[in-house]
Amino acid sequence: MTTGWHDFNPRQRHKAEDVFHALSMVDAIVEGIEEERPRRAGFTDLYAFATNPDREMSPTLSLAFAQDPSLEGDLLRILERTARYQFPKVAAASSGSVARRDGDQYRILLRPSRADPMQVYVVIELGDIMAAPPRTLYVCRPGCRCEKHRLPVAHDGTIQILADSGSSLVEGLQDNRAEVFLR
Amino acid sequence: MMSVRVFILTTEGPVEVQRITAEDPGVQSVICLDGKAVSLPVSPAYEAFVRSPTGVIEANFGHSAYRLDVSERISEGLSWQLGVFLAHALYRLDRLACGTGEIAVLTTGEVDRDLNVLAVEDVPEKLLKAEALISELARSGTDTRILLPRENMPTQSSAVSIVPLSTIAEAFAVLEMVVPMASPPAYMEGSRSRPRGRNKSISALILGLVAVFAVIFWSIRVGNENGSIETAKRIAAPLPVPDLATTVFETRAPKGKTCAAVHFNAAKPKIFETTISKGGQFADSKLKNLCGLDYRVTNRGPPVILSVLGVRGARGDETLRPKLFFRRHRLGAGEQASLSVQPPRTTVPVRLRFLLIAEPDLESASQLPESVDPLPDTLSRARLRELMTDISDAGLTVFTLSHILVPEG
Repeated sequence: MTTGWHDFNPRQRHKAEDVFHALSMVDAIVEGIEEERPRRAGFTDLYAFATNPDREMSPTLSLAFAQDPSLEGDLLRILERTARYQFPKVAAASSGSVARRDGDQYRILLRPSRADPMQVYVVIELGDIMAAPPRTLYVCRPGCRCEKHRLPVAHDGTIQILADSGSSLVEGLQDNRAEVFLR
Repeated sequence: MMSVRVFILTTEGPVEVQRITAEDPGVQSVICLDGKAVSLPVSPAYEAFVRSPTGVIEANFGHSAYRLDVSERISEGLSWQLGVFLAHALYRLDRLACGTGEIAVLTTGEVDRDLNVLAVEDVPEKLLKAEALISELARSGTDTRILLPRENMPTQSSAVSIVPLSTIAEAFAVLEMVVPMASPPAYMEGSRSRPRGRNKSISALILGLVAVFAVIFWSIRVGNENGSIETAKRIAAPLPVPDLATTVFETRAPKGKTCAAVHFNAAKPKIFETTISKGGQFADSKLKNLCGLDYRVTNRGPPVILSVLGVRGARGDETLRPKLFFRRHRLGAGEQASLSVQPPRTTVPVRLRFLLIAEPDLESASQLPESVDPLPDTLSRARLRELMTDISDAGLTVFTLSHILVPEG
């Protein structure tokens, strides 16, 4: 024999609701504790980092990158498959600092600020204004961890960021060995 | 000449304009916080305020990209426009000061394309937030002036001089500024509209030259046939520059259906909208399943008289097919004109171009000459190129828009 909600009297229903709330609260508390326990980063974490603009580098994933250098290669492969655009590598003959990256759909330009030479405008020109603009930029330099940069909203087919010349974004984009992805 | 500090009144407190720098025209104008690499959220609005054809700074001071540093955050709204315009004028005269200055201007207000000063909200609150600064400036002996839109003048008297403004020209007079501008607007001559005598002379000029405006349309085609992007051209105008926005709506047949089904209401079409890019060019459209094109021109400024010429042609065509969509059509503020185009049947890419000729809605009317209306069925490029040479100094505003239609396969 089973007892249904409609078999309860009002007092019993009230008690049942109290128990439900209490159990929900215990679940929430336990869930929080379990989240903080160290766990291994899986493919899901890597994929989410590569594809979800809102997903930051979690401590778990950061630890995994530190322990397993091959993960960088895995991330690059995911980016190559999922990115909206991958800029061609800058020609090997190009030495030193890169001031622009040309692609057939996008172009990235670095323009020093005249107001402050230590600041640089990163200008991303969008070739197709019909397409949804990219939201994230990844800069992957050999021997370094791929860096993810959230992009501001595009205006008139252009995304513009003002950054310090010594920032990882600018240094990464200037590095002719770096691979750059837009997503 | 006396140096001037400019403070923008905000509900969070006064914000000082610290510095203006002319930047590389390839970047978008930004408002930055205190010299840091922090672009404030109002920067896109500042870019629109600066760059032609929407902006008034480039139109009046001749440069298209600036960085403006302020002492505190400005989060939203457009009431910074009056202070920013004055700061640009002072920068032009090398009189903009920061930290110390002989005169301090505290101001809030919007500025329209004709350089009229428009009312804003929350002025009492902004003045309240500025009391400490006003006292400090008084103690230091700084000549302090508050400039407000005429509609925002407080009813109560103030210890500080408050000057009502209707136009930027009045602000210039208060600050004893004679500003060299790229194309001096009519108000600088003491009137908000063009003087009649000048009106007539320009009208006479228009009468003979309106036809050649069409030339820009075609001549740019001739000149840039191999280029992928054309630039929207604005002929330097001594009149207020019309503010037109253009959008195209593509009507497409849904998957598995044809345009015939759409036309006979047997299938619900899909509508796609896009606005014009900075370069005056729409993104290319594929002709597959494209049933109709509807270009909408919205007047974001005061009333204008609009004429629209369209031309169609494929690469290498020596003769072009023109069509006059509108002939001196009055477009009121906020009104929209619609240009419907049937997609051509073609096996090669076709470029549609539109020449928007806009005139301020003034008493003296220009006429489209016979060479343009009625239009011949075809026009040679040579003829258009010939006419183009006469257009450079005309007092009208011309925008060219370009749209490439690509056949499938």
